[in-house]
Amino acid sequence: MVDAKIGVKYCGGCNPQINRSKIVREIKANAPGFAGVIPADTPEPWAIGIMMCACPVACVDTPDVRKLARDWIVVSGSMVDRYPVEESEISERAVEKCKDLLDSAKE
Amino acid sequence: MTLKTPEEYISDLRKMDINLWLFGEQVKDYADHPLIRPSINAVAMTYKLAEEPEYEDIMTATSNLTGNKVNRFTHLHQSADDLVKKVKMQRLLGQKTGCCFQRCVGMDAFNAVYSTTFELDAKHGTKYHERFTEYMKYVQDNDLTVDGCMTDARGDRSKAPGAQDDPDAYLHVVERRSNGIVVRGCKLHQTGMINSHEILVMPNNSLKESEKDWAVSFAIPVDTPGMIYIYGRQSCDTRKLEPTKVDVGNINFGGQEVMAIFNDVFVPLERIFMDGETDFTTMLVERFAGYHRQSYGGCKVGVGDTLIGAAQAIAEYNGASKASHIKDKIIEMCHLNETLYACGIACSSEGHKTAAGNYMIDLLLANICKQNVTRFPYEISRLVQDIAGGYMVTMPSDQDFTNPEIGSLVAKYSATRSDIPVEHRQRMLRYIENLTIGAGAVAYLTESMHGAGSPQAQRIMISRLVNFDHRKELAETLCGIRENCDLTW
Repeated sequence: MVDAKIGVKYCGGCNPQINRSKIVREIKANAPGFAGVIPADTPEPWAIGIMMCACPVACVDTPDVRKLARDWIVVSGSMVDRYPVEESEISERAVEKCKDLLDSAKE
Repeated sequence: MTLKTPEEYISDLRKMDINLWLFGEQVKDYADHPLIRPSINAVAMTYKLAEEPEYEDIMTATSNLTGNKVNRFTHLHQSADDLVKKVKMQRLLGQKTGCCFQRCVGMDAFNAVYSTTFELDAKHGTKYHERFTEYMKYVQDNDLTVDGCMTDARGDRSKAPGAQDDPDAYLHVVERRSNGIVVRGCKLHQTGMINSHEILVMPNNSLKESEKDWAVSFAIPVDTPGMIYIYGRQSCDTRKLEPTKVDVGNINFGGQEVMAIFNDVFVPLERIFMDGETDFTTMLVERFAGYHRQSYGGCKVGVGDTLIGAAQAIAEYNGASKASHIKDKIIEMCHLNETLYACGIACSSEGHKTAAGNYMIDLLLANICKQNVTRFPYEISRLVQDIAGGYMVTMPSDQDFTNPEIGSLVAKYSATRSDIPVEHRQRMLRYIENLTIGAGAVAYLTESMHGAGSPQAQRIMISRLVNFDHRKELAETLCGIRENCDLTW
C-alpha cells in the first residue's frame, strides 16, 4: 500500500448531476496527500479512493475498482456515501471523511 | 412460516372485525361479499403465484433481515436486480388478474420508510429505524398484506395542512401519551386497504417546521378500533351482484378503494416511525412516490397485455383481423405498452443503494415512466375500442341472451363468424368494456392518471431532476459559443 495516498476514480459521466471537475479541484486543494487519478494498473492499493460518480447509480463501484484502494468514499450525484448532500458541500464532506479515515488508520 | 397460502390469507380476512360501509349499510363477512370478493381474489393471486415453482424466482426473495424466503411484496430491495424483478412480478400479476392487485403500495411504502428512517435517525438520534426493522420482520414472517397509506382528504387545496380551516383535512396527531399517540383524519383512494392485514401511514406532502403534528408515520392493524371504512363506488359495480357473470367482463378479479377515516385512533409507541420530524417528510414522500411511479411500469403493462390480447381476439371474432389498419392499431398498442415497460425496467436498472442498504429507483426515470402511464393506457383504450366496435356499449345484457323467448334472436343478430360462439364475442366485448369504461377502468385509466401522483406532480419532479445547465453547456459547446476543450487534435 502507498502510505496516505488519496486518489480519485471517475465514472464515465454520462448523466452528470454534479460538476465533478470542480469538486475534484476543491478536494485537491484541501486534502493533503491527494495524488490525482488512481491508475487502473496500480501495483498496490492507495490509502483512500474517492469514487467520483456523476449520478446516484455509481456504475463504477465494482469489485475490481474497489481493489484499487484500501478505503473508499463514494460521491454519487448529490450524495456522499449514500447520504444526500448539497452539491456545494460535497468536497468539504469528502475531505472530512478522508481526514477521519487517515486518523483512524493511525490509531 | 414465511409464505402464506391464498386460503390462509382469505381466512385471515374472515377473522377481521372491521367497521365497513357500502351503499349506506354496514357490511359484515365482507370477505365473501360478491362486490368485494373479486378484489380479494386479486390479492390472493400474489400468494398463489409465490407458491408456484415456475414463478418462485420472480415472486419470492431472500430477506436481508432474517435470511428467510419471503414474498417479494414484503421484500426490501437489495440490488438493482431486485428492482427489475419487482417490475416483472407486477407485469406478471397484471396479466394474471387484469386489474390492480393492490399489494404494491405497501411494498413501496416499506422501502421508502426503511431508508428514510435510517437517515432520519442518523440526524436526530431517534430509534425509528430499529422499530421499523422489527416491524418488517413481523410483516415478512407472517407474509402480511400492508396498505401504504398517503393521500389525505386535503380540504382547501390552496392551503397547507397547518393552515386548513379544519385541521383534520390532513391526518394529524391530536394527543401524545407516554405509550403512544392518538391520530385523527382521513385517507382517500385507499386501494386494497380492507384487503390488507395492516396499514402503513405516511404524511401526504412536504411539511413546514410549524406542522409537526402532521409529520407522522405509523402502522396499525386494519381492524384497529376507531377505523371507519367506506367502500368506493365503481362504474358498473352492481353487475357483480347480477345472477350472470358474463356482463362483469373480468369475472373473478377486480380492484377496490375505500375512504378510510381515522376517528381518534390510538397508535402504540413501537408502531410509530416518524413523529414531528418535518425535515424528513419530503424525503419520505418523494421516495414512496418514486417507487410507486416505478410500479406502474409493471402492473399497467400486464393489464395492457390482456387488453392487447382482447383486441387481437375480438378482431379475429369479428373477422377483421386481416385488415391492415387493424393490424397496425394492435402494433401501436404493443408499442405503447412496451414503452411503459421499458421505462419501468430502465428506472429499476439504474437503481442505487441507499444509506440504509436497500435500493432506490432512478427518480427521474420513474417520473418519466409514470408520466407516460398517465397517457398511454388512454390511447391503448381508444385503440381497442376502435377495434372492438360500437357493440361493446350497445350489446344487450346476458339475461337477454339467455331469455327463452328472445335469446335465440339476440344471439342470431349478435353472431359474427360461424365458427365463433356468440358468447365468446359477448365475453370479450364485456372484458374490453370493463377495462376501458367499466369497473376495471378505475384502475386501468383513472388510477393511471392520478395514482402515485397526478401528471403535474411528475412534471414538477422532472423539472427539478433534469440538469438543464449541463444540457445548455452541451449545446453551447457544439455550436461554438463555448470552447470545446475535448478538441485537442
